[in-house]
Amino acid sequence: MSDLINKLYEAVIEGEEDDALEIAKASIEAGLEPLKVIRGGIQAAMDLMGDQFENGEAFLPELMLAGDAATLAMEVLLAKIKEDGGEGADSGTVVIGVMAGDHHDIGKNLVRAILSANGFKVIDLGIDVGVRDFIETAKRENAKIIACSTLITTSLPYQKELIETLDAMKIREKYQVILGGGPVTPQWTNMIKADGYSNTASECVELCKQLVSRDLEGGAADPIIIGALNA
Amino acid sequence: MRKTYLIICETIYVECESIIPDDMLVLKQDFTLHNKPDLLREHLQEIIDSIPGKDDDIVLGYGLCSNATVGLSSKSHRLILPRIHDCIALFCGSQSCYNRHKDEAIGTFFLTKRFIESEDGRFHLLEYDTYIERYGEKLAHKYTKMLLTHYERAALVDTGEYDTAPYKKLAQEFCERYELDYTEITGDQRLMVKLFSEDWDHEIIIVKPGNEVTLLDYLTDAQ
Ligand code: B12
Repeated sequence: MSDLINKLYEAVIEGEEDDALEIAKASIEAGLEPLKVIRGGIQAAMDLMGDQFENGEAFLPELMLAGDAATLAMEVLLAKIKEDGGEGADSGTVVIGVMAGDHHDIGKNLVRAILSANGFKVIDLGIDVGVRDFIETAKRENAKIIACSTLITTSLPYQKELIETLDAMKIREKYQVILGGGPVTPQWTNMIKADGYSNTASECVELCKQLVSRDLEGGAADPIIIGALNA
Repeated sequence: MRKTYLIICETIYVECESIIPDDMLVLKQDFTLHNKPDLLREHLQEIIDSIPGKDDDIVLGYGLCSNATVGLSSKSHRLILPRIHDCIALFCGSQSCYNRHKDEAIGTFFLTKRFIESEDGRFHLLEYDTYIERYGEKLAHKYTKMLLTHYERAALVDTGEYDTAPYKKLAQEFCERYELDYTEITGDQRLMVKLFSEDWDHEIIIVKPGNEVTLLDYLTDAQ
């Protein structure tokens, strides 16, 4: 693998934003294929950090810094892909946010980063996002996927409300609603009739890919559940 | 005679020590598992399983805590739990009172003794002690600031269980350092009193032997 890709991988793991940005730019100048750089340098690094956090080797700040470095580096690489009119930049549009009442955004930021790395256009509404906001934005941006993150159980009912509101507006079938974040489980996903769940940010890529390609002409389908470990 | 066991998180224990009935058998648990809900659930189930006998009551001094209590069950005893999402509701006096404080300013970080100081007396707000050890002072400060990006204020909840003066001071210094507004909330031990009193109503979940605690137990409007 290219030396620059290795260096980017290291910079993301170390959470060195400036270095990551410089190396990403250098890789473009060197004529490397941006998508390859993203996969090898950024996604691989974020996967490693995710695993290390799960098993207690990495701490939260390290995960956050790696996420920030990844996001910065990715912006220039994605811009390059777009400039070249290249493929992979249009897997689909995803509107993402943290439910009302919740300020925890580390996981949501990782999901955003990894989805962008995989060619999704991600509209990030941030934290404490109301149900209406999700829906209005999805309509305006012509998004197919609405991704809802929550870490606080008192905000779980808003995920249910979102789906009920889409139903009431008779536009439920236009959107794939996916759920994630610490306390969200496959059971909850089934119960509120959402369309998908994944346990981690990297599994969310597979989830979204399956969802955008599924054909819903025949009516609603069962939710897609990926990587359900607990519960 | 029926016995009552109390499995309780240390963070809650220090807020209600004086009102725990003398005849309760207290099994105090440390706070470290609170950020690992899956491990906490396993740990709590082990303790429940280790309780001998039949037809006693096991009171859990725990909130839902990111589903840590979902799935818990006892073959031989009843499980009694407060219908709250996390411990801060117990300190405020009810889930609805906690919700009101949160609605006032979503970016509120709530503080009590154990959020500020560890059992052995170290300042460990937001794991500051671990951060200092791992990263040194300068980075520990930077990282704490990063964690608190969206937060506007910190609120010290006073349950009346102990003199909060030393914690007030620490909390105020913390707020100054991280540019947060400082406020105080008058807490209430009423829900803890109710939990220990057997005067159980809609604010308390009662799980029969053989049944499991479920997420839906917590998502009712009966709060
Ligand atoms: C870090 C943290 C904080 C930080 C938040 C910093 C930030 N910018 O986000 C700080 C310290 C500021 C904080 C504050 C509070 N917190 Co807090 N916090 C946590 C902690 C320790 C970790 C959360 C985290 O970031 N995990 C790491 C990320 C990477 O994991 P993740 O979000 O689950 O995301 C992964 C997957 O779930 C998935 N994913 C995430 N989103 C999505 C979305 C979709 C669509 C998909 C498919 C996948 C997906 O991908 C991610 C990567 O693989 C948890 C405990 C825990 N273990 O969950 C408590 C926890 C969530 N906090 C809790 C509490 C109580 C609070 C406070 C109220 C505490 C207080 N004393 O005031 C405040 C205020 C919260 C508020 N108003 O929002 C409770 C919540 C209890 C509840 N009611 O449900 C928890 C469970 C701790 C506990 N046991 O008490 N907290």
